Amino acid sequence: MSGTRIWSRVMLLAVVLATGVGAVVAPAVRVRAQDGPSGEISFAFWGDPAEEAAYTRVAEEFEAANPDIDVELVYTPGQNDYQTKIATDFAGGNPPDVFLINYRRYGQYAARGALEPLGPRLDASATLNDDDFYAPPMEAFRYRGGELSCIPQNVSSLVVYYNQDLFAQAGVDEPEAGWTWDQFAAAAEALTVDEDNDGIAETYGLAVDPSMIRYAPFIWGAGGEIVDDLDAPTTLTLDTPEARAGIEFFINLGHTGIGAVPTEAELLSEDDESRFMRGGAAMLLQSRRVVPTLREIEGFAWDVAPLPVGPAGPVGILHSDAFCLAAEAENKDAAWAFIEYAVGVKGQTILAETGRTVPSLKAVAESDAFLKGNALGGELGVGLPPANSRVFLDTIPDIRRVPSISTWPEIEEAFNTAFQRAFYIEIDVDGALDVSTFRSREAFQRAAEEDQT
Amino acid sequence: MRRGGREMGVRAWVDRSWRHAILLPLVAVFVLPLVWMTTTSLRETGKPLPRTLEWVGDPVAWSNYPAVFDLLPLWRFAANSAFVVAVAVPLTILVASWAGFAMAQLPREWRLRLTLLSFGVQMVPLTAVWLTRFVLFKQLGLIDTPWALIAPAVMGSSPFYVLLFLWTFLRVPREVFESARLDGANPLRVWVGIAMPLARPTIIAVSVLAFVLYWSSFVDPLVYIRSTDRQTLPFALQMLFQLDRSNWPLLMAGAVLVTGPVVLVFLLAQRYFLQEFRGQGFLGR
Repeated sequence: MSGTRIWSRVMLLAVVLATGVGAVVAPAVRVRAQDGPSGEISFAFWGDPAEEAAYTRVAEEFEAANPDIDVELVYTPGQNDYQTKIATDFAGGNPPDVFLINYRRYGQYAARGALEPLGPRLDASATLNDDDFYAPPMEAFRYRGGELSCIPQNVSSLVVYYNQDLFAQAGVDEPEAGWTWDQFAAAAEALTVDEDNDGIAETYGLAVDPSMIRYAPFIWGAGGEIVDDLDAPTTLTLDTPEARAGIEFFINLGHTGIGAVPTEAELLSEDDESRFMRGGAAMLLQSRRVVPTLREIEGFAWDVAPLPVGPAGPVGILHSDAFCLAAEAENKDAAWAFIEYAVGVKGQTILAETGRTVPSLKAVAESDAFLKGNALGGELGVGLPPANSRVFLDTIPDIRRVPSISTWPEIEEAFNTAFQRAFYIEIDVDGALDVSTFRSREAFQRAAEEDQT
Repeated sequence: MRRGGREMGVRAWVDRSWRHAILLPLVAVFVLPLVWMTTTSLRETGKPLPRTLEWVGDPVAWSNYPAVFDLLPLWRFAANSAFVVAVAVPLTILVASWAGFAMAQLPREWRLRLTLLSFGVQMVPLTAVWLTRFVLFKQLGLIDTPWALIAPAVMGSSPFYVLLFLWTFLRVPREVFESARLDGANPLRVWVGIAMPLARPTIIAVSVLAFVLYWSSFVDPLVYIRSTDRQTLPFALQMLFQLDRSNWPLLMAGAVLVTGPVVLVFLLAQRYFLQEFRGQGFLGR
């Protein structure tokens, strides 16, 4: 996988040339024709078959409303394959006009000037305003704190999914807003049941992936920081007493501590989602994307709760994807018309019905399409789980994010390698800190050099 | 005589038992994943995956197979794959055998140089040529057409296939080709009439290898094809791979359908491989 990543990065270098040349020959901004944009545009995205169906519907309804514009869909199933594909498309001078991307990965395109800034177009929009969207995802797509590069479509933060039946059986109070780290750890420990005392619990209190985007809210919750400057980071800042306290609290949940999280061997035999669905884990830390999967649970009741609150107050972590417009796109007005539609009320409602996303548009997030999960044509007012979908909206004011610099995926990789070790086997936190700081140093430097904005 | 015959029978039986005792565990290692794939494809969807090796589930969900066809345009992908294979495999045989035949006729020195070059080319990782190929195909207008997937066949698909043919033709005594030429046969006639009939096991082997190469290629369609309705079967598997784990019986049903033709092709070609052990194949000479 990392080999693929390196090669996609090498290919991206070619974007420098491509966009450089494009800037010189680019025609002056076209005066908008009175009868509206027309022509053909391409739109690249990834997702499972249900998401593909949803994006296809967005495109079809857009075409119905704008008969002069044709949307060519470029679909790739897996997210990593998708990154490879669009990196090649950009490097080969054949980029999609509109494409979907995560905020932790768009930096490599923004740094090379491969994205058309969308801030001015949003300001000029007749149907959408900046204020219609939640602020955290919008900030994430202002590259290095500057102009808005892309328009986010969701704000799917991290929450705690929990098995209500297991909580009731163990006599543990269900989590409520404002519950503390101590209550969280105590619940995880109480819900871990190893009846035959063989060291392998039949039921674990918690299933969580020890990666940066799961550690992050605990580092922040203890008052620590991950980097020195969110918009222009130069180093990881995990070696502070606060950040360490957060890391140590997180690691202590695993089997080197209270043993409430499956061991690595257990994880290899069954992934976290399957374990939770079987009733083998009482809590699951995940973003909104698992909801359609969990809706297939039949054996028990479940709901969502906000993340527990640490010493430094409530905090969540942003998960968000956005629609971007390629600087090289020939038909920018038509492409913008599509983005405007897709991130608008109509487009986001269609996407919200998949159950996978928390809409970035306040109006859609507050609607039944999201809160009750009513599929179009479904019975109104019946509602699908989770009952407490509002948790996703209540945590938005406390959401923080990681940087979006061009080399960020490599830095996360350096962190993950070290801290997965620290979580599963007993390498000390000092070792993991040193390794991740050392291995990310070069990536921070390269990001500063690559930045052309 | 009869006693002796029985003794021979017993010894042969013991020999065979030993061989089976060694081979059966090996067979199990290779067959178990296929068995697991098939049994999982018959599990009901909507349940977490089994934690242990589970034999045929209860109830047996044959409906997973039609469900895969409902979920995605599998026939479309299969037709695209079949077209690529149908063009690319014969083309590979043609080009690779020509190249191998030509190399076999060269003076030793030049043959060695070209062999070394082939090894060098073989070692270039596929990832290193993605972008150059992409730019080339874009200039030629091949992006988003099956011809971008078939293009490598124009160069024999892989230097390894060319070398296989080279080694096969080198085993044929030079005099055979030379006397044909003295009789007035041109190179094409020598290739058709003498070289290719002698290379039958190699043709089968390269066909199977090329079939698997094009049938299972995922990166090429990923990078060079844009429209979903022009994608091939590995793309369908990637789509199914995105399903929730509880729906992975559908992925396994897809995998059974996609690997089926490969198993079939191998079984059909198998008797030619077995011939080799009897001394008729090119390895047996």
